[in-house]
Amino acid sequence: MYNTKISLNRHLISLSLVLLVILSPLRAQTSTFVGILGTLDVPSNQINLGARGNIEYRTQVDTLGSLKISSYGEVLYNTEQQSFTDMLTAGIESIWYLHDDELLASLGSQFSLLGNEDSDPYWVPDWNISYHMFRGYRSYNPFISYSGYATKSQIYNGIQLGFSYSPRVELTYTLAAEGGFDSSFDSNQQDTIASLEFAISGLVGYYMNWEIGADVTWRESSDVTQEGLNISLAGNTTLAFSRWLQVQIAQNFRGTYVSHTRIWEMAAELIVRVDTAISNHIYLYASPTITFSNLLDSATPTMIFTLGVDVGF
Amino acid sequence: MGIQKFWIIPILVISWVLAEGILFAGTWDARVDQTLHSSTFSDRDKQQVRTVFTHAEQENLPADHFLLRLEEGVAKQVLVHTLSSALTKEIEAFTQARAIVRSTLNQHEADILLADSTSWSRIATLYQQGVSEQDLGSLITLFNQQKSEEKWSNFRYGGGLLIALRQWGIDDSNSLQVVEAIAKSLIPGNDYRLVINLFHSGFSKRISPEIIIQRIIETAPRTRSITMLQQFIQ
Repeated sequence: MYNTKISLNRHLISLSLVLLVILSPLRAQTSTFVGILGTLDVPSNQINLGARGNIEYRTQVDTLGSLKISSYGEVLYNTEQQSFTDMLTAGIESIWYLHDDELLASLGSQFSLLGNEDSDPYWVPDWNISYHMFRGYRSYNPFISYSGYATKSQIYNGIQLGFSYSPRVELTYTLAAEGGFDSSFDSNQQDTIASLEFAISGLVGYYMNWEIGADVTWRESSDVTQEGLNISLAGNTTLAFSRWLQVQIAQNFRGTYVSHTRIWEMAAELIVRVDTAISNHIYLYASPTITFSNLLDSATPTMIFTLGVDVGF
Repeated sequence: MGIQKFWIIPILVISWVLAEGILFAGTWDARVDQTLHSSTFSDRDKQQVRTVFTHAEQENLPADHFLLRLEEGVAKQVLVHTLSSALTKEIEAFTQARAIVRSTLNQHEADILLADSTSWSRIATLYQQGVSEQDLGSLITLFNQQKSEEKWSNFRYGGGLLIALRQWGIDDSNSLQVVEAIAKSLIPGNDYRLVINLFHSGFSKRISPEIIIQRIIETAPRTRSITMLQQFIQ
């Protein structure tokens, strides 16, 4: 029974990839790419081989708004464990303009038909509605958003209030506060979540973008083992040297403090990615990712080397 | 007695205007001499530089631009031959830029544009960077049609975007079409530089620059902001 289900899911994924390729010529308002990739995990020396594909359709309603439907899928085969994992996303996004302000509504979901090494097959729908006012440079541009997601055991709903401020085109500050409720279906557990986000983004010349972000989240929970503080810092720089070469460097840090155990856990990640276009439609990319899963012990960092080829239509 | 006093005022005003003119004219030479004095150039070299400035003055070119270049060159201890050659090339570019403006716009519009030395300088820079006279003429005509009071400021940003697109790898014809489409939009000039980000994110989504260009040409004239353009094409 289980094998039949896995086989059916494999067929569904194969069918999705074939549909991606067939639909790609309808490119008037569609952006599509398909690709193959391989990853090498060090020090476990495990090799994954896989395929990925993306399709986006967008349409414009005069100058009033736009609608975008998108989906992305990635399937990997682990050569040592001889098992498949997958990750799929699908979403629909609608934006409407009221003078210079922006009203955005989106509905999406992330799911897996085969599961992955950390979980069984899953489906996580998410939703968002937001309103962003744009008053120009050297003005505070406020925004408000309601968002949420659900899993088979919990549902989260949150409201975020914030503003962005750009003193000039090269620099933008964003500050936002969020409050939300995380409710469990299985138990009466209800967590209250409060977070503060801050980000600075900027440009250097025409070819370099950068962004630094920080997020502090406090979870108040009826389950003391869940209660605590999360701190994350992220930095991202993109250097677009030419239409043939782009380099991205990203650093992430995450600190978690559990009140009950009074223990901090810290993890960090460094990603360097080089993308090159060898023609108008064929792209090669290579990316080493170094992960320090616990900075407080002397565990060896893990590395994942990724190499892939994409064809854009 | 009262009538005699009445005539003194216009005489004083005229004298003051003439004195200011003489002092101002002297400032140009004085600044060149002052800068050359602080240089290590020989007397012969200094004369060579003065000749270049005399030529610029005869051509009625904006003095401040060349003075800044001279001060920059002296501060960096650039060789006199290199400095003179660079100044001469800039003088040629400014002269050529003026000729392009005069052949593109009517007398009144050309005078307004050339009175703004920053815009004049941008046209000269674009010319020096290889933008053809025909393309420069098209750009000037296009931005002159904008109804915005900021049209010449927008022109400078448009010129910057044109060069950036060409340096990034977009060919001459397509880069000009992108700037033309953006000029027809209501996007403010200082946001023009963000247009190149559309190509960067297009690269990440494997959308070729030619498709992005096509979408910009179709969409930009109907957009009011850079975020709107971004949402409409990606």
